[in-house]
Amino acid sequence: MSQLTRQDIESVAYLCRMTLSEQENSILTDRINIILEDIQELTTLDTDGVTPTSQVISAVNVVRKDEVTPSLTAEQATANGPQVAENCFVVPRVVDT
Amino acid sequence: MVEYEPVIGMEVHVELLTKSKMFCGCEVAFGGAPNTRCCPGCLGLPGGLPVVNEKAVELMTKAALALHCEIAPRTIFHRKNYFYPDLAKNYQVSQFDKPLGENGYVEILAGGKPKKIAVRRVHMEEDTGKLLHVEGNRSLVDFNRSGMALMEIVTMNPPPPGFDQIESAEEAREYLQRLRQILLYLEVSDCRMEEGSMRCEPNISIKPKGQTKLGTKTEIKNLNSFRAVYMGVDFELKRQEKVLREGGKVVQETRRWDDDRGVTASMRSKEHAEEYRYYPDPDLSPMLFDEEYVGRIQAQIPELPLDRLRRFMADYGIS
Amino acid sequence: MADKLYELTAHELSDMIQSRQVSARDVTQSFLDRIDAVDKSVKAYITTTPEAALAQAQAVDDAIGRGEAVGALAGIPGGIKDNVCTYGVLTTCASKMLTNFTPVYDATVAARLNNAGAVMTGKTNLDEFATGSSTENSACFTTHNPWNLKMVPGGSSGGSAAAVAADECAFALGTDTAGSVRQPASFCGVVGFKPTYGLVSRYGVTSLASSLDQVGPITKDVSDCAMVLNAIVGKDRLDGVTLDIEAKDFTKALAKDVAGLRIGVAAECFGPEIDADVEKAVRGAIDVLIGLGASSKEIALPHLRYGIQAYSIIAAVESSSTLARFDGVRFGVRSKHAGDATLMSEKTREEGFGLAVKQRLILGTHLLTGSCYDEYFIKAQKIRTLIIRDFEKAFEECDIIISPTCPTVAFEIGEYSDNPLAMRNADACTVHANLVGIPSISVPCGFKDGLPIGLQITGKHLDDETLLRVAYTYEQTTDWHKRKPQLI
Repeated sequence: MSQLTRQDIESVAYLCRMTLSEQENSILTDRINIILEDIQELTTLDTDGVTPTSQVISAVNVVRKDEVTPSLTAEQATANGPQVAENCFVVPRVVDT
Repeated sequence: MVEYEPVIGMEVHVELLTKSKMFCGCEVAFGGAPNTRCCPGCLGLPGGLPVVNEKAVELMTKAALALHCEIAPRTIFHRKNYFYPDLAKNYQVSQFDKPLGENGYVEILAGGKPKKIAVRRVHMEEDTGKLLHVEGNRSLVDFNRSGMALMEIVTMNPPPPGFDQIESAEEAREYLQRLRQILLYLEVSDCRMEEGSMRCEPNISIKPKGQTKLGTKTEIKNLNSFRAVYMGVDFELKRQEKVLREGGKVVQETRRWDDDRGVTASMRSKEHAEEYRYYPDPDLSPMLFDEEYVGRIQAQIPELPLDRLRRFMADYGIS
Repeated sequence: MADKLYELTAHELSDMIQSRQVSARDVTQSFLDRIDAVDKSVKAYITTTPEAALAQAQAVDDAIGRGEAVGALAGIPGGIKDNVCTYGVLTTCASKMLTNFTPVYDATVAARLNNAGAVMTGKTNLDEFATGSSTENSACFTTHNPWNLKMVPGGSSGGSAAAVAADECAFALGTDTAGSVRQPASFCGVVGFKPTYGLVSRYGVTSLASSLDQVGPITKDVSDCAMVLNAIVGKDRLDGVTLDIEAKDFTKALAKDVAGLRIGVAAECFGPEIDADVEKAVRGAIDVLIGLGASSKEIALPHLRYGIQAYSIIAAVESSSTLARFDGVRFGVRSKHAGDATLMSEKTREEGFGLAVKQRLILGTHLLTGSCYDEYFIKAQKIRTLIIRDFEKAFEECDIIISPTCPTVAFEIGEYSDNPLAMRNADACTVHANLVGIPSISVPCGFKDGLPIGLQITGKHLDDETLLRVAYTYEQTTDWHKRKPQLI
């Protein structure tokens, strides 16, 4: 696998909505490349026909009845809101992307 | 002069008539005071976890069967990752490569002639919260709708042999009305477009008649009535044709329907292909549907309106 | 004795409270005094809750005074890792992001402890969002190892382990995603247990990697471990992956009996990274059990060596979405930076997350894009399957597997802070139990240079009792667990 550049790291950071300082970007570019090189070893393993495991619990059809349980009050729901008005969370202007 | 033919795909979202939300026990209702029907789960607070609403799965299975879909013997939930202020966890629990239902159809009457509009998939997901846009440089977010059970129904373009696709604004509206009729009849959803319990995002492209390669498509948002669906699709078809006839190019973008002005307007072009980074949600176990279950749900489906009409016609020798 | 109540184990204190030899209030006060005396040097707690603790203790005394039956944990002071939500009590996850976050709900484990009458002394330090193995990644401060204050206590549940080792609580809760309960327990010379995945609810526990996280007790001895398990284990309707099993009394497993026990020993667990003295102590412990009637057998775990790499991929991917909710919209510290909603979230995350968390998020997000998904993520999940098969096969020939908990004893603060790979050695022996979902316990089995060594016992799916029995037998035959660090 080719090395990730600082631009690559910047675009990945955008995908997870996180700006990075110049210095952080530089450190993380180095570190992520070291990790990627390290995990490269796995790609050489033969895993043909092996089922991937995403959860060790073998239970299936875990459901609940369609019953209403108490919600938080609006005051509780917004208690930790950084900015709250009219029982809503206030966010800066949303620009559609 | 080149003649163009339209290719119209429909992505429909329907909120289900459950008492509680898809993955938590918060009440499902329309309107009301903001953030009064939320819990750590649907509010995306640290440590909130999802548990599947049995009734929601039942209703969606019923709908998928009524749309003649094959029910997956095993279906799983995925995390669909994207950031938006109304998306509490910044990922939506949805389905990806193993949806609940696949390969169905909706029968419509196009100019009196029956057409089987191919349905590619029916899948389960959760709704987002709502942004209430207010004056000035801010928005308010209400999470009452967050986590409500949502069913997505997507048509298949091009359709497989023996099936059809939507090819006009009339057919788009007819498709949606038939779908609504079925879902109302099954009591799966109240399908109120004005309240948003049925939402439709058509994607539209045109291509020179006979050409197999599809044209560039646009997607229309903010269609809150059947009339708007008709008008919006019709406007967009004419707009695209005009662009092409004038030697221009259709840009891949999302366009917003402006009901007052009767036009679609560009929201923002999709420069990057969406990267949702789907992967199986480890908080939710797989759902297995055996023949017994599917049979039981199938048995609950009453004779559908169009089937009944057809039976009457046959019984009384009307054609 | 009564002047050093804090030195006692939870089960000793429980007996004394139940028989009215001491009041719960006196017990709690003793631990609060101890915290006052030593936490300035250990720094195990992010938040202490002395008034609430005394009120809880008083309620227990009142109940006992009325002649009501109270549970075994009633009046026993415990610390809770600060990534577990506690109603009305600051829960920071040791992150700048959450320095103002006060949950309006209890995690199920916190509620269960509360219902059992346990007294919460406070919230313990961790690596930010449980990302790390030393508590050096805490945005608050680094916790110090009570055995040697220059050393790390391990992590991510370093605050919990240090608090128990320093007698700043009778027991504590940690969370274990790759060894975060067992590794700090090993470094601090206490007992740390990761139950079978699904035995304990994760509801209200800030998730790092959903398929790996499990809450577990950190205690002074194995009997205490069983007591705490009794309070926290069980099906939770709010966590769909908790197992639906009948209630168990784990203290019934506390028997001194390993006759006929087959101990699996894998060469892969004693690789070159294992310190010679650690290996010697662990092999010595195996001999102790053999002396009591157990037998040992060489087993093979051929895919074990890929575990840490598979883990780093899976944990990064899962945490990239579980930590996506920290966006400054609904809770947490929002950036003051002006701009639109997207920029607000971007700046909030830049300012709120530490470097180790950022590293994991970038890695996890990257590994879900394009061809990386199949090349790395699916690959890692397949290797997870192979490791599960390795253990299934091994458990056909043995009842438990014994290994070191960690390759070394506690290392010095600052020793590994710049190397992104070096620290992962700390999880090398523990991560497999998380990948496989099986139970695993660490108990003290010796010392090197005055620092504790941990013995790891790993068992079959849902055979948590056998682990407790073996650990108890070993503990009752040795006295490592009785040693105390000299703090004052």
